[in-house]
Amino acid sequence: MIEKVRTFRPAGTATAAGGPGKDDGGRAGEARFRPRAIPGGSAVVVFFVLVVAAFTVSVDGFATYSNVTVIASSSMVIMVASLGQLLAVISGGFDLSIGGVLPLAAVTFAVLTHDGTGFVPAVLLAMLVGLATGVVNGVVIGVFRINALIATLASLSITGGMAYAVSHGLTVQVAAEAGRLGDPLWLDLPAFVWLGLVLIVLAHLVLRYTIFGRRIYMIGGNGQAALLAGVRVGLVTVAVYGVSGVLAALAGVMAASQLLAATGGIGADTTLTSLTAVVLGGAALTGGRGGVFGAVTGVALLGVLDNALNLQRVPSFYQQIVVGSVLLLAVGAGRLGDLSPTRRIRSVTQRETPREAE
Amino acid sequence: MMRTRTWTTAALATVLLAPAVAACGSGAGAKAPASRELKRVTFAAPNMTTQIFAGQARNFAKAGKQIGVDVQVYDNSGDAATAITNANLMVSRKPDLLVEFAPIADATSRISAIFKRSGIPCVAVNVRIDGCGFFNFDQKYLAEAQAQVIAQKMTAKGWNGGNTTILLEQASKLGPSVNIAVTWFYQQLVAKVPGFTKVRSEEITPSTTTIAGREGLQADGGVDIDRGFTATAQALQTIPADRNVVVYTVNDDTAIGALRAVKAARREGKAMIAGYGATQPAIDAMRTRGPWVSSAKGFWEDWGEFILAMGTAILQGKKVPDLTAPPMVAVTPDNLDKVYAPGMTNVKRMPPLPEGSRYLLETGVLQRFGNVEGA
Repeated sequence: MIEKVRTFRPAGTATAAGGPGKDDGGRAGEARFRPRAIPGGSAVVVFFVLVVAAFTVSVDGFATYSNVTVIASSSMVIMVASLGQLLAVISGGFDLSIGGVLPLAAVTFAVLTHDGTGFVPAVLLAMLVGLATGVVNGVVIGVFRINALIATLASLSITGGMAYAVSHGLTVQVAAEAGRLGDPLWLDLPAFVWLGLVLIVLAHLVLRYTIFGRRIYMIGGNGQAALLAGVRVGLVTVAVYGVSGVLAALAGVMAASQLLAATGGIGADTTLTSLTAVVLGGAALTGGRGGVFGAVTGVALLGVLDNALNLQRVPSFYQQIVVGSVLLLAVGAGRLGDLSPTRRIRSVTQRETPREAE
Repeated sequence: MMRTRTWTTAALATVLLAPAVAACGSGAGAKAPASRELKRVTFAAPNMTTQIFAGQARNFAKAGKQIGVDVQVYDNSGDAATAITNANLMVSRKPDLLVEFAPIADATSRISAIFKRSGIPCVAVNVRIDGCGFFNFDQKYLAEAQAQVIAQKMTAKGWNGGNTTILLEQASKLGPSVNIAVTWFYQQLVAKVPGFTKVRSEEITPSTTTIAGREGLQADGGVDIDRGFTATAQALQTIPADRNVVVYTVNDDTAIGALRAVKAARREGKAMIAGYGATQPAIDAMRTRGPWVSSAKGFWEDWGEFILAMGTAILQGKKVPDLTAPPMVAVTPDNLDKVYAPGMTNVKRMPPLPEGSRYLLETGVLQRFGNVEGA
């Protein structure tokens, strides 16, 4: 029985000691669990640096402070949504509903402020919409064990439709005084960019230094093992999707504040872009791998590419080809790194170790 | 005996072939058999979950009721397969007129085949369908009207090719039927304002990004607020701060994003923005007399009454033109209160029909609504 349990240990936890019968909530195992924050992500960082260097030299107006503020403002909404996506991916799932929650929260915020509701209550209600959607997603996935792809695809459809219903298919304006998150706060950057930076740091701290963060890696690395180690997988999953929903809603509020308007179609590409960014940043779609630093790099790389190609006046059809090719190169470079002889030996050793422990 | 059989065969062939011949000629511009009265219409709306489409369909049905025509509405649900199913259902009802607003162009070939087989006259709305009369905005007409407005404002401010960049924001995914507005606008504007290199519309392709050096830029502003914001913000990075900017978009949402980007870059004083749709945000923005100087209006919500007039013309055997368009106007801060009730967004009275669509007046249908100048 014990041998069977040991075979369920997550990769990279060769010395994990947690198991059934140990009423420690799995913390003994967690204490030795070291999430691989940016595996493969280092390649994308190198790639990002190279791309930025190349654009700095070759693209007029790219390396200016004014352009940096444009990149930051354009990327931060996706960044915040991607933090939630990152949690879902590390936990072994997806959150496709981001693309529906974002516009739903944006139009909710816009409708409320348009009708005279105060800024704070409007933000809180919009975030409540995100939380409710996320919790429902989490319960469906974590408790009823429905595949995350199907569950969040369904809620994407529902929330996306609700966004149009709430706005009646029209563009809803945000009252100027309620758009304070979009106003410049410091260094010519809008307030929501600073808020986003705070959220990035918080997300990093949570993932790296809290039990909750480690449990997310555990259930993503091997959900069965996490369960047997005493982790309340269902509860963690609900929390992950709840946080993801709140972050997507906040991203919607940010977008509406930035644009002083919202429609049901706002942030239409967020689901795909956020997923691309976190995978680009080294997160594994199989779960258990990834980190905030990688996701930030992934979003930044997409933002920089979009910006520089526009500054270079590359036609939009060709931009899609270039972006796709660069993504393939970046991810391919990371994969080549994983397949290098040194890493393969390390990987094999890690896989063999549990048997040796038995 | 032999001769009798030949005549019988010929008569039978005539009887059998007649409906087929009539069906072949029942589309656009064809004369309908005799002069029939329009009593029953089936209309396939593109997507009834979207307010603007639902509102248009409701008004269509209401307009029909007002003049005693039964308008049955079908919901294409934004989906090609549903549109094809609806086309079959509509044909099975045997109406006097089929009206199809296809959600996407993918289904139009199949729908065309279904309609042609039925032999029932048809009108295609917004997206062309082979064999049907075509009702839509006249993009060139509206673009030219907007170019006229902006050229006057540029001249008044001393803006010219030497100190102004025209930023065209096409919606690349919508194809040439929409983006012709952008290229036609450019051709018309540079012809009216001194100092610009004259460029013909067809010289600007979807891949064109710069036009005559610094004079013109083309970006993909899409049809969403966020895409409009990003495209404009990035384009402004490449336009020196001392140059004036004219931003032309194909959609008011894109223009809202452009307006925010212009404001974020603190270039309101050196920018003019034009949108499309004359939606509530556009009207509100124009009433502040800021950078938003024009929005094209094609009275979308009232298309039903014009389609009823067009259908009547087809049944009366009139040859309809290649394009029948509604009244159109470039709404500006100066004419806002002529088009709309002052301070409001409800239309007072629509301007006259464009030249090519005046035949609709001859049907007598528009006079029964009394909301169009000249009718």
